[in-house]
Formats: sequence, C-alpha cells, structure tokens
Amino acid sequence: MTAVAAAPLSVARRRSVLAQLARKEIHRYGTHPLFLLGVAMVIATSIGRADRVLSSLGNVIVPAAALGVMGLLVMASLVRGSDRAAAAAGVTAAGERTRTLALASAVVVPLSVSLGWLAWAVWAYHRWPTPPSSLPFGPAGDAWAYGLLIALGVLPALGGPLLGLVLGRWVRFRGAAPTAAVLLVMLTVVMQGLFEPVRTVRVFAPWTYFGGPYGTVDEPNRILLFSGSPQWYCGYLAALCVLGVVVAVLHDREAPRRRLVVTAVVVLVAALVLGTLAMTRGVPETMVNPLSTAQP
Amino acid sequence: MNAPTAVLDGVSMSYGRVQALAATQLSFDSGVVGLLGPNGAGKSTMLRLLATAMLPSSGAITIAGHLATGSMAERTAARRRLSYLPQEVGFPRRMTAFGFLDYVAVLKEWDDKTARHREVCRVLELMNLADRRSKRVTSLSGGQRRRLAIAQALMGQPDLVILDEPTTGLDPEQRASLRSILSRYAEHGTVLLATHQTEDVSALCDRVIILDDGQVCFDGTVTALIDTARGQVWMGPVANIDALSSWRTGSGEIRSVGGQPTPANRPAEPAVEDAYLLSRAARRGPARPETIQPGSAAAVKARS
Repeated sequence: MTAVAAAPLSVARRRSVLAQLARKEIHRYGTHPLFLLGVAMVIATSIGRADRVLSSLGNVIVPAAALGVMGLLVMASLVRGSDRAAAAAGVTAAGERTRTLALASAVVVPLSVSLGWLAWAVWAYHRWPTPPSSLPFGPAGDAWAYGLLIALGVLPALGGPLLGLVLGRWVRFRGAAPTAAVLLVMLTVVMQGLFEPVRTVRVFAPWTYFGGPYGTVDEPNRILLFSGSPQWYCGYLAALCVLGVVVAVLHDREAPRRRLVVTAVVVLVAALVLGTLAMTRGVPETMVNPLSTAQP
Repeated sequence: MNAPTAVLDGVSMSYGRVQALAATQLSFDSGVVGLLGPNGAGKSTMLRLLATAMLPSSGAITIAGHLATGSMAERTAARRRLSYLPQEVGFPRRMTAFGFLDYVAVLKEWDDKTARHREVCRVLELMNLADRRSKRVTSLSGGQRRRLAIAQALMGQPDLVILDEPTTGLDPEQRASLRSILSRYAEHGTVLLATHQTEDVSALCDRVIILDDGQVCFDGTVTALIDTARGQVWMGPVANIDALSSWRTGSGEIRSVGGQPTPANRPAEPAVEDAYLLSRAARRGPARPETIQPGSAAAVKARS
C-alpha cells in the first residue's frame, strides 16, 4: 500500500463542506415539528386586526415564545442529532467546530420567519395605529416602536436557538433545554418591569417589557412606559447572540481556542456596555399615559 | 518499498493510574488484521487511538504518512485517510438511513452532492439496505442498524478501515457477506477489526494480534497462531486431565484444550479459538475455571 500524502483541502472546499452541512442543518431546522408548530402559532396570531390598544406592539411575545423559546428546544434537539451522527461515524475530517458553525447558521430559518413577522408588524402598526392614550408617547416615538419590535420580536428568534446551541454543546444533562426554557420564562416574569427593585436592571435579562397596559383599580386604562432604550437593547441582544456562537464554538477542545477566548471576552464587554446603554439611554424614567396621571 | 498504512511507535495509554495500553510498537500493511483479546484488554483503546479519536499518553501514531499525534492539520489529514466503526453506536432519532449516511458523508468532506449521493447509494446497496433507505433509523432492527453503522465506515476508499466488533448482531449470512466485502477492501487498504468471534479471524484475517492486559502477547499469521496450539487439542470420550477448557461437541465427543490426554483421546486439529485460549492461559497462570475433571459430575454428565 502506498502512503500518498493527501493534499490539504483548499479554503474554498472547506467552505463548501461547511455550506453543505449548513444546508442540511437548515433543512433539519425547517422541518422540525416544534418549529412548524411555532410558525403556525405566529401566523395564527397575525391574522386579522391587530390589538386596538397596542396594535402589533402587543404581539411581540408571540414570536419570542413560538420561535425563541421553542427554538431553544429545536436547536438543542438538532445538536443532539448532530452529535449522535458524528459519534456513529467515530471520527470525521469535519470536526465539532464545523458542525457547530453549521448548526448556528440554521438560525436563518427562525430569523427569516421573524423578519416576515416584523414586516407584518410594521405594516399593522401603521395600518392600525395605536390611540394617543397608548404607546408610544412622550420621548418614545416610532423609532422606539421599531426598536421594540426588533428587540422583543425578531432577536429572540435568533437568541433562543443560539441559547439551545450553547446548552447542547456544554450541558450533557438531557433535560437541560426544557429546564432552561422554564427558567427563562420565570426570569422574564420577574424582570418584566413591574417589580420596582429590578426595574432599571431588567434590561440585562434576555427579554423584558418596555411598557404596556398595566391598569389599576383606579386607573384601568393606565399605560406605563418603562425607562431604557429598546434600540440599545437590540445591540445588547445582538452581542449576546454573537457571544452564544463564540461560546458554543469554544467547546471544541481540539481546535485552537486562544483567539476565541479573546473574542468572547471582547464581545462580553461589548454586551455589558450595550446593556448599560440600554439601561441609561432612551426613556429616563417610568412614565404614565395619560401624562397627567400622578405616580405610576 | 511501500510504506505501512499505520504505525504505532511506542504508543501507550493510561486512564489516570490505570494503564490501558502498554508501550506498543506495531505497523500495519494492507490486508485484514484481527485483534483478539478479552474484555478490557485494551482493544478498543488501541482502535480509538488509531482512529485519532483520542491522543495517546506517549508515543507517535502515523496514518498514511500523516503524524496523527502531531498538529491538528496532520490529524485532520490522517482522518481523511481512515474510517472507523465504534463499538457502540447511537443514531440520531429523526434521520432516515439515507439521511444519516448523507450527513456522515458531508462530515467526511464529500462536498459534491451528486458523487456523495452515488456513494451513499452504493454502500446502502453493499450492506443490503437499499430498500430501507427512506426508513427512519429508529425503525430499523438491531442488525440493520449495525449494517448501517458499517456502511458509513465503508464509504469512499479509506486506506485504513477500523472496525470495533463489526459482526455483533449480524446473522450468519450477513457475516459471510461482510467478510467478502472486507476481503475486497483489504486488496487496496488495511482493515483492522477487533472481535470476539474467532471464526471471523480464521476466515478473514491475514494477521492476528492478541492483546491481553494492555500488552501484545501474540502478533503473527493465523496459521502461526494455530500452530502454537498444535498437539494441545484433543478429542475423545473424556476430557483431558487438567484441561484448560473442555466441552462436548456436536458429535458427542469431548474436545479438550490443554491438559494431559487420557489414552482414549486422540489429537485434533486446533483452531484459532484453541490457540487463543492457550495464549490467555499462558499469561493467566494456573487458574482453570472451565476444566471438566475426569470422573467429575460434569464429566460424567458430558459423557452421558
């Protein structure tokens, strides 16, 4: 037998392998029953007239839950499948890093759906505008509303699956994804903005409200606008998404990791800065609509 | 002169304080090599090391001219030249047989879709799974799943095919078919298989290595291994005195390996299994748990 030195794969061919694998993961994501259920939920809640008080601003939780939280479960399942296939093959030339990047690229599937939802939400926001007594008001304008739709409707569809990717890579516990989904929902309840002690730092949570109809017995139609900037919050969430990909790729111990660790630290610092900006910029304090109303 | 497909140069492996493989020097040329040994002898460790699934504690491994224990690039180059069937395989739940092989083929860097699909169909056909291609892996039987796992190892033309107990769960017809496939592969490359099936070794292997307690205790041809047992295997109405192992055969006679023959017993042609048992006993020492003592209740029962 002649040992012929194999020519190293060209960069173009290596990219081609990644592209092929990414196509497979995109297909697997797009045909996953939980994802299809999530899409059905998003479509079902987008049919008909938008909410009379909040218009499409009141729909942001739907893509966040149906594409984000469910995406967490979908991606964790895809990671498990990919790991099993790789383990069945023993060793392969394309390593864990390539597989992780291919899995990460599958988030274009929920992202595409959430962008479709965003197009509907922007259209619906203008087609059925919110009344003057509702959001946005005061220092919050249309840019605030668009920031809200992107931060709370589009980016969770990216962040949920990426959190699933990180968990799939780093946590061997089989129930990690469902547990994380429950914890995420509990964290959102605590950090929604209603609790005064955490109202300012709530923007460091991966999902939070920036306002909404929080009526009281005396003022049932009261609308609150919370402090912070949804636009900067978009930046914070985008940084968390990048951090998620880097941390997931870091799991591969075979490939060099020093540069990735540096990248992770830089992105983490950027996320903290953006989170701080989301907390301190935009609406300076909690405001109430009608503006004439006293303390929130 | 042709270079060996794989070389283990002073390779050892320890898990903490437990030494799984003592410093080993081996080289593999084309042909089928059988790896025999009891459970925990270090067979799977050796195969995993050769497959570059883990790095040795010491020593160097070369696969098709690439230093697998060197840089990541060299290890990846080595991986392009080998395929590996692990002992236990878990499959992804939602994939079909075709989908699974196609996925693995991409991991093996088959980036041309047409060629990849052709290859997947070829190995499915080869392993007699063509009619199961669109079935989910979870709906396949144990034997079919094993064949699917073997199919992924046979994709392409790897220089080194490493199979950890490939025939487990296969029926005799499938085993015979696999032997035929592997012997064809061995014409242009090296097939290394760990097995407990000594008949597979005698039917298929050009060379056999016996591992025991992490050490190579035999390395030679199958004929040479069988020759080590010549004159130590007997057939007759009763078991040999102090036989290492004895059992009643289908003809009703007692086959004894080792020990002192009784006058009624006659020499028998040894097999790989006999030589393996004797090799194990030589290392193990005097303990002989499977001996049927002449005149004992077991021997009487065997005679009757």
